[in-house]
Amino acid sequence: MNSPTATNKLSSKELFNKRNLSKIIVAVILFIVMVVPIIRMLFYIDGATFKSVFSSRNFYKALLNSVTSTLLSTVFSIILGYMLAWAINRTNIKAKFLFSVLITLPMLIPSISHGMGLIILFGNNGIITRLFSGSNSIYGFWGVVVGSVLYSFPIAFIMIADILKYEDQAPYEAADVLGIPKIRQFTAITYPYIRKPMISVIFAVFTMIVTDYGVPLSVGGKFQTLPVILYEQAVGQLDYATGSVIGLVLLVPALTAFLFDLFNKDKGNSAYVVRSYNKKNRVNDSIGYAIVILTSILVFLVIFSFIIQGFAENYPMDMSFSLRHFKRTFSTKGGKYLWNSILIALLTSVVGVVIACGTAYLTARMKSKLSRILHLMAIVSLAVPGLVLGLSYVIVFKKTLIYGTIAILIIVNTVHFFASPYLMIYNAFGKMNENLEDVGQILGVSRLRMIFNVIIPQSKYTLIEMFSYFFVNSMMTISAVSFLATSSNKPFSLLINQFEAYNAMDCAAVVALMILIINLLMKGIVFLIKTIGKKDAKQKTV
Amino acid sequence: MKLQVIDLSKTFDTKEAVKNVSFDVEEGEFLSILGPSGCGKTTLLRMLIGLITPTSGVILKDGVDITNAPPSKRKMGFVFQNYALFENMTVLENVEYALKIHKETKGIAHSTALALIEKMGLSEHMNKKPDSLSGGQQQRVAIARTLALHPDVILFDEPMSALDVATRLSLRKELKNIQKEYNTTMIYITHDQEEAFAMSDKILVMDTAVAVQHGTPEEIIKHPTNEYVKNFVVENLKIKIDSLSKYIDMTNE
Repeated sequence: MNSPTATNKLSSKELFNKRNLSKIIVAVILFIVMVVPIIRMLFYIDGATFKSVFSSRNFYKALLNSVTSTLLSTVFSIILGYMLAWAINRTNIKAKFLFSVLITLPMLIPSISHGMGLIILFGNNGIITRLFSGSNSIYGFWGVVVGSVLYSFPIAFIMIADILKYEDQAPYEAADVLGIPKIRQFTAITYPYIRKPMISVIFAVFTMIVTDYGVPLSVGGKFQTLPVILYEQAVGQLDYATGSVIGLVLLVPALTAFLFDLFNKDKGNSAYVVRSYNKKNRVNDSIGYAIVILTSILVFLVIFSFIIQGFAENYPMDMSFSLRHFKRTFSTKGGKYLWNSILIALLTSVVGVVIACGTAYLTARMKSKLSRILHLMAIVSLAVPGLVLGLSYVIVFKKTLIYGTIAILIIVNTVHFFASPYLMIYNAFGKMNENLEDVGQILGVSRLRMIFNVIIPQSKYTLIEMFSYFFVNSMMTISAVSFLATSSNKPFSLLINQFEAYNAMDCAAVVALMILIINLLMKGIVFLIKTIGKKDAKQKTV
Repeated sequence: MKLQVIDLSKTFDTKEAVKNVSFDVEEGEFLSILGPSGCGKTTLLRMLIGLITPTSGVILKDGVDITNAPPSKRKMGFVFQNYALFENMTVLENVEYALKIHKETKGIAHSTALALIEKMGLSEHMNKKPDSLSGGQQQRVAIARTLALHPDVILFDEPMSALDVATRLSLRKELKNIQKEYNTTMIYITHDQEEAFAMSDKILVMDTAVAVQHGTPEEIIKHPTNEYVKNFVVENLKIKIDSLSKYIDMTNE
């Protein structure tokens, strides 16, 4: 009833009115930066390369390696993620916030550093290897699996925690009253509720792992996966044709996950959470503590390994504190690259937030048939792995003026990370009162003024979250940017690849630590702004 | 000020939401538009304010055709069922916002807003944000915000359907007082027969998309034009009164 225009059929005259024109323009821009490069990349594939890739033994070996290691990592990652989500949402352990921060720390550093952490801990000269005088090599299948789990379990945890958090507990109370056994409760209440959203989580984690080259590159050794071949072919040998064929293969899982999510409307959240979890169970609490503490130790071990490696004079011979590696990192253009990274991250955040906001305003608050097409354009980047995006961008932009500048990195990062922040603000706009623009019209306040005076201020915390999302991911990404970085616009994170290639683990550790610290700072600032803001709001209402 | 609605219609796709509705509203009159959900009341009201363009028909205000005038040029106010307050602003800021935006009223914005807030009994809440107020208080803020621009006509879209009975009764009285004090014309949408009869000078009864009767409450009770008015309005009203009257008798005993 309230916005009947949304159901109107579009005539060609209406299609090009002022309202729709802005949507068409934004949709075309998003199409050009998100979809066109991928299509261009697919046209790069020629029959001969296609045949040679699909008839090479190495390809099938890498495919098998990718599938097996990813499957196993996904299983472990989901199990660990579920256990953590359970501990945070279904027990009464203390310091939940602190533990949540600790176990999500791995999300703040590049994937390649997880492999590196494993090498520092379990490699031939590893801290733990020496401690237990073991000799098993971490390189290979198991290294890739453990590294991938380290890299992906925080995402699994966050997604599953989100599902559990919004599960209504009233049915369980009813079942308890009726004396229904726990097993039956799981199969009859829990399972149907979590099934579909869990499939989404599994897809997301699988895609994340199978398209990552950082972990297998650092700790895979001779165990090569598809992303590593893509990386080595396209970045190392500039063989874009072979890269494109593998890119096409890597598009399959990402696209499948995207389409599944698109058609899976069942996001899990109960329509009404009548009751949240509030049972008291000491045994569960103890198990919960065990899970989060052990995981925190695991996470801390990796970070600890960076500190040891980065700040010991000469690990493992001379363990005295030294800034030697720190200085060396910054003497080899490290300072310039760090500055590049911060600049890229800040500008990506600003550009990303502005475009995501504008797009979400058009889709969430000016609904029409075109909004749905625009919405699809805005989330389509979810279907493109960073590695594939980077390859397609280098193919399209190699000979243009922006290649080699930080502009290209800002564009590719904005595109790469666009979907999640867009969805954050889309949801925030959608939840706002539907009549605000009507009020503006009646009071004689222009739409633009309403946006700046009412709509934006009401979503300020979402905007800050979006900014931080773009920033943190731009700081730590090594996927798309690795194809577009030159000696002048290189971001700091890619120094890890470079130092690792020279076996300078100490400097690589310094880089990983620096990225962690900067991202933690960003997260800390966001946290402060939110707490102070909310405290102020509370004081005003009292 | 006189409002004339002539043959107003609105068609969405193929669905006729409002069909050839005509009625007049005199200055200072309280008109209720009464009808069940989905009968086209809200569409009618949104055409009056200018949020929806009619497919055909004319709206005259003091003889001037305002059918296609922008909402802000009609000197009309609109109160929404869900309040539609600016959550990021305090009560005071909500009320003075529109006044501050327009150059002519900028100077008097603060004093006007303060007076209205006091009138609506919100003085002690004026520095609070809407989300810390009750539904009734929020609706008072919305009414104050509307009154700030001195509209000739205020349109109400089921403003009390989310409120509890006690709040409704007190708000009803206040609306009537405001109507008298400012001599403001009010057009009020409701699906509640009792509310319509308690508050209105005139009632427009709607069935699906069409207006079936327009008259004073007495006229409608005494001479319902057809079976629908008789059943939907008169009979329902009787049932409500019957079910309550035995308690009224009890209190008399």
